[in-house]
Amino acid sequence: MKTLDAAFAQMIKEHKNTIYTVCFMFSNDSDEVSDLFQEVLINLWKGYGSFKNLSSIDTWIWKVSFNTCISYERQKKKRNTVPLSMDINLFEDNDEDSRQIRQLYSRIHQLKPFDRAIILLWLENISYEEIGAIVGISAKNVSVRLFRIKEELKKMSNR
Amino acid sequence: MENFADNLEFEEMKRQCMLLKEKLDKEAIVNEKLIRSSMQDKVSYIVRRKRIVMLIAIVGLFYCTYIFSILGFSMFLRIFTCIFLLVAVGYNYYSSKGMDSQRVVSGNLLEVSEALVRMNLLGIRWFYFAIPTVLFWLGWFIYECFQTEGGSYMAYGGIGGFIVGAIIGLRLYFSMRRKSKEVISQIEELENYKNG
Repeated sequence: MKTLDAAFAQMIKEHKNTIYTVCFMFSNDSDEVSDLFQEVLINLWKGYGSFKNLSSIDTWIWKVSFNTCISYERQKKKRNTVPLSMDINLFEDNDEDSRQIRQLYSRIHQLKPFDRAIILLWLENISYEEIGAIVGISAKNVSVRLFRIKEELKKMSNR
Repeated sequence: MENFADNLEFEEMKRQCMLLKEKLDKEAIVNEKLIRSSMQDKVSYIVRRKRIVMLIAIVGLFYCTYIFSILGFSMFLRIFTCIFLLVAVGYNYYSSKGMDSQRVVSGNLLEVSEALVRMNLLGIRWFYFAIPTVLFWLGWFIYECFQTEGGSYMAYGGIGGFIVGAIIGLRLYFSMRRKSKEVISQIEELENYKNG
């Protein structure tokens, strides 16, 4: 895709896993994942020109992905479905890895959208400071929330 | 013991997260909507610029008619200027046929591509007509200036305005042409991809 802004295309290629993971955790089916994925890419595209390296590119991508997914969750707009974002269907694939991933999904998806964002970042081994910078709370608040989220996850597995 | 079990559970979640990443690593992105959105921006840019050019020509038509009559220029020059500007507006409108940014989002991309190719072709043809006509007009304008009192100032002003206008016009033309070529190329790539 030589005519697309090359740097943007490269950035998306490098961070597609991050974007897809967020979209997957915030969706209810594969169509919604595709829709969200495209929505995130469009928002990244729109903001790319004005991105001024005030934060790292990783932080910015996490931020845009979460903001898009959380606002989509709130609005739940009905949109036309469009061709695929990635040729993968983690909701229906039946191999062992997909089942494991679905288990992770079912745990995370039971959390509130904001908590989903925090646990996803924690699972990526991102520091509390960085998590705070991405979701817009202090590192101390991140640790308190994480403690509560972990308790909630424990309760889920005990049910 | 309970703490150990909890840690195992979170370790398992991290492992599952890694599995997800590994699976996604094998996937490529094909995002038609993004590509269409990028093309839509470019087509909107071209359509906007085309409208601006038409608006300038329409305003110029009234302005020139009014100013030329005040300056005492001949009726023929006024009529010639009006006809040229009307032809320019009409041709511009005709060459933009089929250019609609909404069609890029939901319509047939091949038709959009054809409209862009047509616009570029007609744009080049317009130069064959417009350059000699405008040069002829400029000569006539200068001649008429020198027929009136203080004509040299008017002629210099006219030439200055003509040069500035020509530079702006050419820059606008080349930027629209560049954008349209980008869109055509994107459509070709997307269609090639879809057709394997």
